[in-house]
Amino acid sequence: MIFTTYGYLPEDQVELRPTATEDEDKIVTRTDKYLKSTGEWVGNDLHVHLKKPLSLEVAQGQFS
Amino acid sequence: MANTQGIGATFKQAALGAVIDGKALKAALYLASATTGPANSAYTATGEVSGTNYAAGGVSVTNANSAGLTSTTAFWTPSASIVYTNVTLTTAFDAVMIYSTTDSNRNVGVFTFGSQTVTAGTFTLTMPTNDATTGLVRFQ
Repeated sequence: MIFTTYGYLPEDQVELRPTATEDEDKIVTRTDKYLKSTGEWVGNDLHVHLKKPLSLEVAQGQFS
Repeated sequence: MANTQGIGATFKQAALGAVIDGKALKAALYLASATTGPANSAYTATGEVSGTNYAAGGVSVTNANSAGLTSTTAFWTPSASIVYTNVTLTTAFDAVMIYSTTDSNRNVGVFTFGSQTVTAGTFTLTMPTNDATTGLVRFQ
């Protein structure tokens, strides 16, 4: 079953069209969902893969 | 062989572990128009997304990992993807704040991922490999 703007529909009634973009920070895959019978857009899923961490440089002072 | 100065590696691991290990964490989403960031000391509802099947405060973060240490880098990453199921968020959002409900909603970090919308769908944030090179939070 696939969740859509009409609620859950059988998989054979929904066409999934994924598109992916990638840069140095992330990979984004957006999957748009369409009714096979009419072509109507009925929502989208989104998947983001984080690639860039947050880093903390721990600094050490000097004796004066 | 010369001596080497530097902050102790286990100090970094202990510092990271003090705010992460065993803590109950949550993840809240923020509108692209918001100004949420490292300066926020704690979770805020200001600028948070709203929509179908999204509860204020976001979702729980699976936190089975404790702060790790490889060489002199301490690191940590959530142990599972963060998932918002069957949501409709039609106003663009671009950031998630991971925060600790154990510690008065202390802000652990804000991560941006580009402006997005979701309609009648599931938004999944997949984590990088939990190591000293790609871990989501690293003390170097």
